This record gives sequence, C-alpha cells and structure tokens, in this order.
Amino acid sequence: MIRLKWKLYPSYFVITFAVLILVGLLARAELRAVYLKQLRLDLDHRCTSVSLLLAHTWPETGIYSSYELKKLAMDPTLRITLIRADGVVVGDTDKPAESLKNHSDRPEFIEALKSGTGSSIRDSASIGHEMLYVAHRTQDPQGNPLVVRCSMGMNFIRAELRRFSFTLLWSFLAASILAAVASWFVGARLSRPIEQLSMQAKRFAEGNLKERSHIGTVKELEVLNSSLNEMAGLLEKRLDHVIAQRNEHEAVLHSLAEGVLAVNDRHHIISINPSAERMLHIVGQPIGQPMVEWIRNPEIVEALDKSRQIGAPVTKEVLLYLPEERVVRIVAAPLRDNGGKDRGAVCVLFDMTGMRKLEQVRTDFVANVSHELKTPVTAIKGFIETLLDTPDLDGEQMREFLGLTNKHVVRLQQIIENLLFLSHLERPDLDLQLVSLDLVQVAKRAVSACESLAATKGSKIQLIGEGPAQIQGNGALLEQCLVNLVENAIKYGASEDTIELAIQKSDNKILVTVTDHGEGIPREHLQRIFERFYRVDRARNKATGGTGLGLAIVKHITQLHKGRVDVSSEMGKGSTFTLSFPETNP
Amino acid sequence: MAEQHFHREISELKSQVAILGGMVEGGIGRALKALREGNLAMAQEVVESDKVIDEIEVQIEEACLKVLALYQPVARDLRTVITILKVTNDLESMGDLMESIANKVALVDAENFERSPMKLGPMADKAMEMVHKALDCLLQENVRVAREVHQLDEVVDQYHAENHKTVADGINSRGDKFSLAELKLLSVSRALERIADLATHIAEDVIYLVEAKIVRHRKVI
Ligand SMILES: Nc1ncnc2c1ncn2[C@@H]1O[C@H](COP(=O)(O)OP(=O)(O)OP(=O)(O)O)[C@@H](O)[C@H]1O
Ligand SMILES: [Mg+2]
Repeated sequence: MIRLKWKLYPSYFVITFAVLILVGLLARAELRAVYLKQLRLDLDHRCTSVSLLLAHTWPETGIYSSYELKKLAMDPTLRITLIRADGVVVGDTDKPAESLKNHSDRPEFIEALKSGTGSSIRDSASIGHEMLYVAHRTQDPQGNPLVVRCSMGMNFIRAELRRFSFTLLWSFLAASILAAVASWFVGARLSRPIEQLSMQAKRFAEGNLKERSHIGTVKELEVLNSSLNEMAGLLEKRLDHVIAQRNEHEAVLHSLAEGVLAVNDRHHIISINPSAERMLHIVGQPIGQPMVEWIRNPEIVEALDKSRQIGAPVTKEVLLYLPEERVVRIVAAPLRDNGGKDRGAVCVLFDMTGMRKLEQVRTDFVANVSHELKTPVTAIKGFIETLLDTPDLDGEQMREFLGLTNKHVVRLQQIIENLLFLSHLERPDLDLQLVSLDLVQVAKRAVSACESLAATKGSKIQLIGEGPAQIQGNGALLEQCLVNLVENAIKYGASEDTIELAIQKSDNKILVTVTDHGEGIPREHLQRIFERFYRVDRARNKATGGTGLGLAIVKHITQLHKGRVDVSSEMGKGSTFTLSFPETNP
Repeated sequence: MAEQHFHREISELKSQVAILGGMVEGGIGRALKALREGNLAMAQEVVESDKVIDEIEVQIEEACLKVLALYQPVARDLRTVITILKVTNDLESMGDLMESIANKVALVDAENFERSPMKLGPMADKAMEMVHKALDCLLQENVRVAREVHQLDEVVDQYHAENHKTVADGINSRGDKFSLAELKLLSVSRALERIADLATHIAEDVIYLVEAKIVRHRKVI
C-alpha cells in the first residue's frame, strides 16, 4: 500500500515531464529554424558579394585556385564553389577544382540555374557532414552563365541545440524535485485528516465509542467525519441499550430461586444460573462445555433430549443427592429461534424439597388431629352405646356415665376451640389491634384467672413485677399466653408448689419468666413441646386432660408480638419458660 | 483427518462414561435413600438399573477396543483410552456395590437404619461426594479435584473403621440381643468404603492421565 502523499507524486512527475518535453521540443525546433534562417541569409549575402567580386578577379585560365577563392571568402569556415552551367566545377575553396566531379546533379545548382537562387541541406559528399548550400546564378566576365555556391557546416547549430537540451534536462530535474516537494505537501495536507478519520474509525472498531474527533480542513472529509461520529453515537446508544438489557436479563436469571439451564443444539451448556449450579452441585466454569460432563443426572439429560425431539415441554421430578438430598421438579422446553430452527433446550429447575416437607407436616397434622379427635369420640360413642344397651341403669350409675361422657365432650370441645383459636392466630389478615399496655397488669389478670386451678393443688402463684413494663400488644392474647404457661406450671409442677411469675427489663427487652418446681422436662423433648399435640408423656397427660396445644398457642402469640419463647428445665428441679418482648418507651 | 475422527470418538466415549457415571451416582444415591426410608420399590428400581449399567459398560469397552484397533493411538491419546477403560470398569464395580446396598433394603427396616449407632449417614454423604468429585475430575481433567478425592478417601476409611468397632463392641457387650440388622448395615458400610476406594482409583487414573505418573498405593501425592 502506498501512502497518499506518494500516490500524488507520479502524476505530478508525468505532468512536469510531459510539459517540459513538449516545450523543449517546440523550442528546439524553433531555435533550429531561427539559426537556419540566419545562416541562409548570411550565405545569400556571401553569394551576392562573391558574384560582384568575380569580375575583378577572373583568372586567365578560367579556373580558380583554392587559394584565390579563399581570399575572396575571407572566412575559413565558408566554402565557395563556382560551377559552370554544364556542371563543371571551376573553383572551390576546399579542394582543387579539377579533383571535383561534375556538380550538375546537385539540387541547389539545378534550382539556381532555373530560378536564379537555390538552396539545400545535406551531408556533403566531399566534406562529410551536414551543410547548408545556397547557390546564385550569375555570369562570368565572358557573359556565360555561372553558378556561385556558398556553403557552411551546420554542426555549430547542432552544438547549440545540444547545449539547449542540457539546459532543458537540468531544468527538468529541478522541476521534478519541485514536483516531489509539492506533492508531498499537498498529499500531507490531504492525508492528515484522512489518517485522523481512519484512527477514529479504528477507535470505534475497538469499542471506544465515547471519543469524538473534529476535522475542519476539508469539506467532504468533515461530512464523512460527522456522519462517522453520528454513527458512533447511534451505535453507542444501541449498544448501551443492549448491554443494559442483557444485564437486566442476567440479573433476573441470577436472582431467580429457580434454576435455569440452557444447552445448545450440540448439547453444550450455554447458560446456567447460580441456583441451578447450587442444585446440581456444579463447581467450575461449565459454560461452553458438554452438558453430560457436568450434569450427569440421566433424567435431566433425557428430559432435555425428549423435549427437543417432541418439540414440547417435558416435566419430570428428579432426585438429586448432592450436596444434600433434594427433590427437584424440572421443566425442559425446546429452544427455537424465530425461524423455528432447533437451537437446543432450556430447563427450569424448581426445588420442591421444602414444599415436600411442608406437605409432610400438613399430612402429619391432619393425622394428628384425626387421632386426637378419635379418642374422645370413640369414648363417647362407647358410653352412649352402653347407655342405650342397658335400659335398667339406676340413677347413680347413669349420672356416672353421663359425667364421664361429659368429660370427653369437654375435652373434644377444648381441642376444637384451641384448634380454631390457633387457626385464627394463623390467619394472614389477622388484625392484632396492638395497643401500648403494661405487662404487669396483664400478668395480674392472668394470675387471678388461674387462682381457682392453683387452689385445687394447693399451689400459690407469686407475681414478681417491676412494673410498668410497656409493650405494644393485644391484652387478651397476652393474657391467654400467660394463662397457658401458668396453667402448665400448676398442672406439671409439684403439689403445693410456689409458682413464680416474674417480669423484668433487660436491655430494651421485657422478660417474662414462669418457674415451677415440678419434675421438669427431659432434654430430648425440650424443643418439641411447642409442636401441636406434642406431649411429653402421652399416657400421663391423658389423665391431666391436656390437648397438647397450649404451648403451640403460646409460641404463636409471642411470635405475633415479635417476641420469642425459650424453655430451660432441670430434671427433678423444675422448669422455666421465658418470654422476651421488645420494650416500647411509654 | 484421522486425528479429527479420533478426537470425535474420544469425546463420544467420554459422554458415554459421563452417562454411565451419572447412572451409578444416581443409583447409589437412590439405594441409600431407599435404605433410609425402607422403600422397597425404589430399591428394586436400583437393582434393575444395574443391568443397564452392565450393558453400557460392555458397550463402552467394545468402543474402546475398536478405537484402539482403528487408530492405534500413542502417548496421551493412548492414556486417555486406557483411562476410559479402567474407569468404566471401576464404575461397573460401583454399580455392583450399589446393587448390594439396594438388596439390603429388604432386610433392614428404616427404623434400624435411623437408630443404628453407626455413622452411616455422614459416611454416605462423604462417599457420594467422592463419587461426584471423581467423575467431575475425570470429565474436566482436573487434577486438583482428583487430589481432593484422594484426601477424602481417608475420611471414609476412618468412618468404616469406626463403624466396624461400634458393631464389634455391640456384639461383645450385648451378645445375643445384638440385632442382625446391625450386621447387614455393617456390610453397607463396607460397600460404601469400597465405593470410596473405587472413586479414589478413578481420581488416580485421572492424575495418571494428566501427569503420566501412577499414583496408586502412594500415601502422599
Ligand atoms: N411446666 C412444665 N413442666 C413439665 N412439663 C411441662 C410443663 N409445661 C409443659 N409441659 C409438657 O409439655 C407438653 C405440652 O404442653 P401444652 O401446654 O402444649 O399441652 P397440655 O398442657 O398437654 O395441654 P393444654 O395446655 O392444651 O391443656 C405437656 O403435655 C407437658 O408434658
Ligand atoms: Mg398446657
């Protein structure tokens, strides 16, 4: 590739060359003509003057010697030849007349004889180089016609012309150097903006669309430049848009809890999000790699294949074992481009493990409820059947049976009420109607509600309050919560126990503790007693008549108040239940 | 040209090994799950799948022999084919162990499993991790992961030794009352230990493939 500035030079050179050659040739021809004209005129005069002098110097013999003629010529470069009408040479300055052949065939001679004067240019046969001949017709003293011919070598003209050619050559050299310089400057002026433009285009190509160039010298280039800039601006905007869109898509994919995995038509992974990596336990850089080498689960591979084959989504539930066991529902769908061409497949993975657990909890719960309800219903049914089958029961026995039936009905009612209460607490649209209240007042009400129960076991309830303990809460619910705890303490505490209900404050928290001195709760049951229907000793509790729902209610209510419940217990010494609520400033 | 064909065959073989590995990996997982849950149907499925595994193994072996005969590979290419052959073999053995675990499901209740004093759960997790990593390092030719597998082997061995001791102590102290299920579970522990060994073999084969040195039976690598 030749740079622009050097591209201009050859044309400059050719132009200079052509002009100089043309001018030189014309000038040379003109010069030659001028010289020739001058010479011919000169020779004309010589002829005339020689003709005039002839009469005085005509020799007796009728033939001139060279010497005599030379005297007439007075110029050594001038050759004079005298020729008779029959062509016989009678005198010549350069050679003896007798040695010269008949000149009747010379063109200038013929012309002169005919019209008086004649001329011709040719190589002289006798002298050897190019000569100009001019001939005049005149008369010798006897009146016979005679031709005087003067001639001169033309080599001086040639020498002049050669000199002129040399001058021309030198000026040509000078001109070509000048042309080079000129073309360089012009080229540079032209190419600088073009170079700038190409640099700019290169920057754009490299992705640097921010910079803008300005070229103010050439109109056409400036137009090109501004359209280039415009294009860059447009590109930048579009690119930004595309990048933003891609980032958005990526962010969406990235933050999805569902796993997304896409493979191309050659089964290489083209996209995978962190959730999918987590579920499939992929560590590394799987993008662009064969899918089977990273996701070896045959079912997933099969589902992707099948969805591509049938061109429709395939749903399947698969088990994954790492890092822990998971149930994952996969939906594989074929990937098609706009033309409907097969582009691979995409697979969405839903982690169903949690859902399955929840379902488990739900079925367990239903089973529990049914079981809990069944016991009293069976008992009631038994009593009623006995009553129906034995009509001759006396009043005493009848009362006993009805009393037992009533106990179970009460228990049934309790279970149902508690369950309803729990489901009421669980309602998402539950309006708590929180008000600022003093927990010590709530505790007082709870204590008086439990007093009669305490009396049956000879226990006392001691309220240790550092009131006022302000929290945001629902009084009725909190009272229920405390009643449940105190009831448990009475029921499972020792006989004639002193149950402590204490309310303390500690760093922005209000702690409510219920302490009894019963036999305590075995360690392995501590975490589970808050579950619904969970009772430590089922057999013993049947007698005490508990439903196993009290602590579940306690837990729910504290959680509704942004609090938490803990239990600590020592076997044989007693248990302490602790509620902690965030304090609000009165 | 031949070069290209050869590499295509090799990547095809690798995919097949990946599929085989996936089946074995999943099968072991399901066998253990079946054992945990006493799920007989699932155990039966696993036993069935071992037949497929055996079939695939034969296919891969035949393909390997064909490649060896057809292309007569040398140096690293040769090592690749040999590694695939060995790994296929190891995977097949794993399949057999998986089947033997699945066969225990009928003999051991889920409750036995849950209440067993042996640390089978964490041991199974580790063994599974080893199998997964062994396949990863094979397919991605990743020596670092291969060394991780090698290190995990010791952990699994230790679990097995502990389990063994637990059972032995149990027999000594409780005598006749010792449940037969414990012995069955001990054989599960042994199967897991064997699986871990096979995973380690695979990892060693990968190191051999990449670095051309045989590391088997070496403690420090
Ligand atoms: N203070 C305590 N001391 C010992 N055991 C307790 C104490 N509080 C609760 N428990 C145990 O926790 C179980 C669950 O208690 P929860 O209050 O939920 O049910 P419940 O008392 O049996 O029935 P309900 O309260 O509905 O009448 C009880 O059955 C009991 O075994
Ligand atoms: Mg209670």
